[in-house]
Amino acid sequence: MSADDGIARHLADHSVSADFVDRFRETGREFDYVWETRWIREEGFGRIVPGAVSGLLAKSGLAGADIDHFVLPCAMRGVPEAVARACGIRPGAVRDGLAGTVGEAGAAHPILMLAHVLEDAAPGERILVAAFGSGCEAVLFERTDAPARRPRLGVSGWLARRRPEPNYVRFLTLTGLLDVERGMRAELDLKQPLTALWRERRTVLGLVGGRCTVTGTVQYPRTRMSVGGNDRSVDTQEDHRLADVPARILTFTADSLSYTPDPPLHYGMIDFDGGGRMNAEFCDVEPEDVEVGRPMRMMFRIKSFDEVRGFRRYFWKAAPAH
Amino acid sequence: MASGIKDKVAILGMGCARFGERWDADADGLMVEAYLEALADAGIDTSDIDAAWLSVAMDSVNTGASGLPASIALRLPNIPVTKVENFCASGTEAFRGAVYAVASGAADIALAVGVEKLKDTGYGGLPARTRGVTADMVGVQGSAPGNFAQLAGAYRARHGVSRDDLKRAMAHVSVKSHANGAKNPKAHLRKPIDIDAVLNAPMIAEPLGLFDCCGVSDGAACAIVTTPERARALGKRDLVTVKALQLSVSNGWELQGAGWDGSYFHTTRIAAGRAYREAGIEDPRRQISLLEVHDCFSVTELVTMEDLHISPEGGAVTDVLDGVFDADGAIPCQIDGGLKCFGHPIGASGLRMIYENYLQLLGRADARQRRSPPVFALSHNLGGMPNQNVAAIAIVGLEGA
Repeated sequence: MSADDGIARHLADHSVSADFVDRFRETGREFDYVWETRWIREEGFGRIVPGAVSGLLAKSGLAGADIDHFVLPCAMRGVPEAVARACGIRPGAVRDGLAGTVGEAGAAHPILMLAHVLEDAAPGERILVAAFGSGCEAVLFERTDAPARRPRLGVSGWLARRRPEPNYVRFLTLTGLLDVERGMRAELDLKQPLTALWRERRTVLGLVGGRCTVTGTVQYPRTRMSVGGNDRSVDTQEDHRLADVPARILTFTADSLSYTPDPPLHYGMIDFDGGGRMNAEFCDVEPEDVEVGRPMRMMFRIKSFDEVRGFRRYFWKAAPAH
Repeated sequence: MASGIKDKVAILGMGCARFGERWDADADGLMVEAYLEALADAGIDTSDIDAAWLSVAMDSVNTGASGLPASIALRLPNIPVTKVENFCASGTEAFRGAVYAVASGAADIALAVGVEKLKDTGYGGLPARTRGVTADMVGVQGSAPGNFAQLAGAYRARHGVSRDDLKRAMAHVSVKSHANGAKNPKAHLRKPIDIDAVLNAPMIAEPLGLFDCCGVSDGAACAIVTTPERARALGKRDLVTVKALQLSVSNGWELQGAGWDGSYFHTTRIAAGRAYREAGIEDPRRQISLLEVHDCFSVTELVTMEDLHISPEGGAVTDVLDGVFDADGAIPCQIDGGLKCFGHPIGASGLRMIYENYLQLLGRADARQRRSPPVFALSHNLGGMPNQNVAAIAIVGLEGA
């Protein structure tokens, strides 16, 4: 998975192409038009995927029983298990498709499931990833002896933080599928000067602040003259990354006046461990999550959307650390 | 060492338009309304004015830019007119320009006029607007109530006050200002309210409810200033003079540095210290007779009582609940209704505060006149937000005080 000592090694891959049109979507259309799922299950998954998997196994000189983790995204229940059976793969090797927690992530789903597998695959274990669509792509990996490198959250970490949305109207609104009148406060022009975004890219996209090489004072954003109380040193700062630094809430509010697609707008000041502070929007919070001193962590999120020109601003928000 | 402004400049006349939702008036009309009252009070002619300062904070949604709107509305005789903007402290900034011009000798008589026509925006509250290129990328597009609401949690954390106790003290602030505003014919909000109305009001920005927020109003206010000598030559007795004018502006320490806990205004404390020194006031709690503070939100007024060194740190809740700042208390605060009820046409507010203090000092405040004659009256005019702001303080008093 990388040039040097990656955590998995690519062993083989195999592709089968088939002009099997089970769904289509014209450019600009919102949704797929989908044919009967029983036919997709039996003629598509049931015939095409086992062929691709067999081809892969033949190429690699392995049998189905040698596979420790079988990844096949499919929203239909029982399909990955049936395909595994047809290919001689142990039932216990079939990985959960995350349908109950994630849903269907589309083209990203096989990679998402692979990332999930890599969190717990043991050295030497073989991972077969297959993805169906106009044929089937099948790739075989082997977990190396390299020590696990867990991401900050990973698939399990994100799933542990997930928040189900039981209100379907709210879901439709937040995903932009309901055309709602948002009021005059949503009319604020959010045009992004691209020159400034480039100039300040480390500050904005990297959440890089400054650390004074003379006094050690950390500040955000980095400026030519250090913040007061720091001897007003000039040009003494070096880059100081804050994106991974834990923080605590200093002040907070839940604002019902400011426009946000998901009111109220939670925000306040946060103090970073080891110095530095900023005024930040809070994300993934309920009112009970917010109090002075509460531990937070930074998350890279969409800050706002310029509806007039169709441009997304990205920036960092503070989320509960748990 | 600067000698300060004390007693170098006298207020010759003041005027104030009726504040409120002035659907009938544009910014020009509001300025004329305030100006005609000030001109009559001063007993001069427009041709006597040497220079003018205009304060408008949100010119893009009302007057338009530059000093032109005042020069045209008031048909000033091609004198210098400077437009100033310093967030919600703009009104005091215009006053400072006029007072300093007179004190320097550059002008004999100077005019400060502040105006804001906010009720053409189409919605309640202040207009949502850009905060500057960098701030729009890395800051929060919050509202004024959202920014000031953050004082509450920080104050509770610092002083160990329960949410309910703080909310109740904040409610007392608003009930008091409504009672005062009811007696003021120029006030925007003239309906007395009780504490339950405050506590049960819809939430605007946690924990600020509707009645914790001041009115967003149209209005204008005006001051004409000159030297004490010229004022006497024009036949004035009982001069109200400027005792102190101070401004303190954040340099980023609160927002970017370390040590500020979000529960108070760093700048107000600095400006207050300087103002008391300039005015020769040693014990503000005993010597200040009247307070007009920037009560944009109830919690702002509450913490400002401490920042002005009137209440001890952590003591504002008790003082507020004890009625110290009620109209019949030891140091009435917002005896005219304040921003809360007189209203908050931004560019005019600092001048409106001085207007009330001026009337009170001269015993001209009618139904709301402070019972014992005031000596020193302080106005505190704040712009921005707790973590980044402009604090302006003006102290006026009778000449010789």
